[in-house]
Amino acid sequence: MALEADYLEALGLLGRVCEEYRRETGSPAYLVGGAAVALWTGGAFHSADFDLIVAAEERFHEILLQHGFCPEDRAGKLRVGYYHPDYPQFGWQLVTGPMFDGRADRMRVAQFQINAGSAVVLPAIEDLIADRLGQYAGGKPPDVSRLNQARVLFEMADRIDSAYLRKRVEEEGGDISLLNGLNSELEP
Amino acid sequence: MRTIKLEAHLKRTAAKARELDAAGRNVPTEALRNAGKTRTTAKRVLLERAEKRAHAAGKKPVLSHY
Repeated sequence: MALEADYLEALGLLGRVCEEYRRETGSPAYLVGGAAVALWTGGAFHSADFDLIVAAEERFHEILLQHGFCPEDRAGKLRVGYYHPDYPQFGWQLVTGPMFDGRADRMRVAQFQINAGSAVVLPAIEDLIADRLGQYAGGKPPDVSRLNQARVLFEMADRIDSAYLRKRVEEEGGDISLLNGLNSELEP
Repeated sequence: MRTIKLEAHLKRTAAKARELDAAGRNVPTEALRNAGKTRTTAKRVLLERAEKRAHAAGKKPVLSHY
């Protein structure tokens, strides 16, 4: 289990885009979804896509193009996202709406410094765990991969704010007892 | 905002993964992969195109259900 070299290179490139965007706009781009899980778990699995939430989509679009990204052709009326010719196995997508419907505490986000001038900002690990447990609880039928991701995130965490995690799991409609007994160093 | 150096993070998580492996508690990669049943149409198109591009470029695609 580890993030592969191509994945890390693509992440580094994205980190340069995100840093330029943050310098210009004063607000971060947030890397969410499966890529955030992949990064927090150190590559327990790889995602083929990178989902981003940005406030100024037009400016982010311009910076992506300056760094060699190409917009995907639309599928009918649908905007699909972006690709980069050097990393054809990945896709990038801008996700609309606030992170976790505005319920996440933005002061808790984590900046992953990749190298000089390259960084990505991720939701707090507690928010990701809560999101995954909520998706598992709401799935009809439940997608067990959501539960497995929550459990691996919890096991791989170096620290957890238990009170915040409990609050967020409740807000997302999940069941925190599904984390019991996983990480002897942390209290869910 | 908390800042984490990626290199140190990857070393720590790799050590933790080895611990879990040794304890027989590792979760298979496939068990973590999104089953794909609730993906948006745009996401399905994005993933399908990425897979096709990877094949065309002779790169290993990242397995996705779409």
